[in-house]
Amino acid sequence: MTAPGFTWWLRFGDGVAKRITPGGLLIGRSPQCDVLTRSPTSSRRQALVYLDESGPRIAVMGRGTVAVGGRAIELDEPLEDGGRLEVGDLSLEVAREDANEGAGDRSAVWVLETADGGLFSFSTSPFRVGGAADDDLRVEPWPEHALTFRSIGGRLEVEPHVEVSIDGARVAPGEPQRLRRGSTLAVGEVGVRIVTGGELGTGSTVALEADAEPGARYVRLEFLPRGGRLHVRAGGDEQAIYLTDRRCDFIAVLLRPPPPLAAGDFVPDEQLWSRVWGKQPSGKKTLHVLLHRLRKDLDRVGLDGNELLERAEGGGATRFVLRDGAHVDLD
Amino acid sequence: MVAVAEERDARFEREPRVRLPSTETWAPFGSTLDEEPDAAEPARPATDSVGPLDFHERYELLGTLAYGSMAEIRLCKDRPFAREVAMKVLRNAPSARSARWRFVREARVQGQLSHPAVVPTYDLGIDPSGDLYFTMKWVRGLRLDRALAELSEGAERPAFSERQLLSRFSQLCLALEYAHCRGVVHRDLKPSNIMLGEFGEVYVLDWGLAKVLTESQARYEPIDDASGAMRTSDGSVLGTIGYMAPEQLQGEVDRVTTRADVYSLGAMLFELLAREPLHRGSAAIQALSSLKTDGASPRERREGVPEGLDELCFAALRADPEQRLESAKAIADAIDAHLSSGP
Ligand SMILES: Nc1ncnc2c1ncn2[C@@H]1O[C@H](COP(=O)(O)OP(=O)(O)O)[C@@H](O)[C@H]1O
Ligand SMILES: [Mg+2]
Repeated sequence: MTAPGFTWWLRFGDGVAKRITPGGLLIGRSPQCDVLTRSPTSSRRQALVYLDESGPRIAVMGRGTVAVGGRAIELDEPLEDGGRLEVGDLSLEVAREDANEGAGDRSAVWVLETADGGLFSFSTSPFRVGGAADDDLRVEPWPEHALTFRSIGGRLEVEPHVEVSIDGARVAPGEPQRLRRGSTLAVGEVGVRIVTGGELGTGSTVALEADAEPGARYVRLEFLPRGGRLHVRAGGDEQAIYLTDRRCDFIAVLLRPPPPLAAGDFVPDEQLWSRVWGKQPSGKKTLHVLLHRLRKDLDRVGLDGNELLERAEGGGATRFVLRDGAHVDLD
Repeated sequence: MVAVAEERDARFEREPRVRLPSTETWAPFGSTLDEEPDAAEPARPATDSVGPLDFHERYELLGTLAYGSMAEIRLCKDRPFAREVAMKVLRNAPSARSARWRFVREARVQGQLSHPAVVPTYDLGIDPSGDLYFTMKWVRGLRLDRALAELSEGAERPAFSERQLLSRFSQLCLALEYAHCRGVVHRDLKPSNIMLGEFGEVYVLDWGLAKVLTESQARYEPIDDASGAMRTSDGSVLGTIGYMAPEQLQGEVDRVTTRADVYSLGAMLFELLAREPLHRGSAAIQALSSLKTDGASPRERREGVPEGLDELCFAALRADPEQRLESAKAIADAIDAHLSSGP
């Protein structure tokens, strides 16, 4: 997740602190807010304090004073450790903490079992398995450099350089494939199995959920006066992330595309262009940059951006991958 | 008596690691039970502090005791009872429903287990800022990991001798036996989740990962955790590396039963006897060692481990749950037998 080694907090006068997350803390008079103000001059939703890839930020959502270090702010600004925040009748302090228990040694570890029952663990990425002397793990009958394993944000992927069978399904060389605990991979007659793995820090409790079929089971886009909060439940816990204006619009179009398209369908680039940018395509790059950033956003909260935001084969369209019966909610 | 009280061991965590409002208003340990109103203070009806009270009227925040992975443990004054309580507050993901669900479940499991070694819970609710919390007895003592560290570092006067630790450990096993009978598997037993009090108490902390078996698997009074909706799916790994059973580490969720706790108890007993952890090294090495070990003998690491206890460890640490020692009670019985036979 963001800024490894640190957690960020919003401290209240009475010693209480709330964690600043990528989904953010919404401050305002509405009872739905995460932090309530009683000041009559405050808006129902006045400001959002959230975490982006570089640290905490504040986005102003409504009318009423929002000041940082005594200076009124209007849009969206970064916050610093020790910064004082004035929102309505609240005075809050931004505080950085060294991450504590649970954030210790977060690098991922994977254990492979070979056909003869041998167990091997690796924590370096990439990790090559094949028949060559310079493969990280040598499996004699395999061609050299047959498989390259990569650990990405606690997930394991394999890039096959030869034809491989993953859990019984044939996979051609090339495209990286997502693996799960218990997967078996066979090249020719000889297989290996992923026994276990994930972010197994020593000493601290882990709760690694199984990654089942791809796609989200639950998605909610909560529109805010500026941008919106995306709530997603895929394999594990529900995650939330604040999306600034265009990113939010982009997701909104994918989740509620113009009919006859429905949520989860591929939405052609032209539709995205006209709805998100309000004009004709002026170059592929802009869309790709936005998509790239959105995927990164999702990765940041422990979701799989590549899996959830899928490009059509050959390009030209994008979809938000949903599971059968997924619940989608735009409000 | 006073002299004895002053000699009490300073290693016990009775001084909270928190900034307290003022030393005059707060006596660190054994604060007098009755809060007689000050002579100077005008007498108020005795029931004034009883209620009905809102959150801030009932609880006064005194400081933070510890940060867990998802929660903060605060020290609070529970005014109606004039006592200090520990308040666990979920503070990680205000909007994640599953985290909130799990938190309520943790409180319910802990709250329905009534045993001297399970920290009693008092109150479950949502505070005015929207955070879920539950309050429980504020436990003071020495964590088992620290007690073990003292023993293995060869401290001159360890807070607990091996014999004392064994006797506490047997109590701990009976507490788990009780949970198991009620269909609860803790799933995260490790020295840092065990607290030893100064007066013979043993506490099992952190029921956040507990698995509630189906009603038919409980031997009496099954726990009502309002679950059903959220079953852990196959392939999930929950626990702490080095202490979790091989079936837990492999995400074989259906094979994780009360015997997974027996394994973790075995790993702690091993550490007590061998004076070093069963699995050591980096996460990668510990993972391999956990999967490769099928029964382990503390005698091979340290001389003088009694044979009976060595065999007990071995039986509790079998890789295949079917072949593993069947219950926590069996560990308690074997330790008791050892203690009553020896000097
Ligand atoms: N009832 C209590 N009294 C005193 N300290 C406690 C109590 N409960 C928890 N703690 C302290 O807080 C730490 C974290 O609590 P824990 O329940 O393990 O939280 P988490 O589920 O977030 O890991 C414990 O290791 C212990 O030091
Ligand atoms: Mg804990």
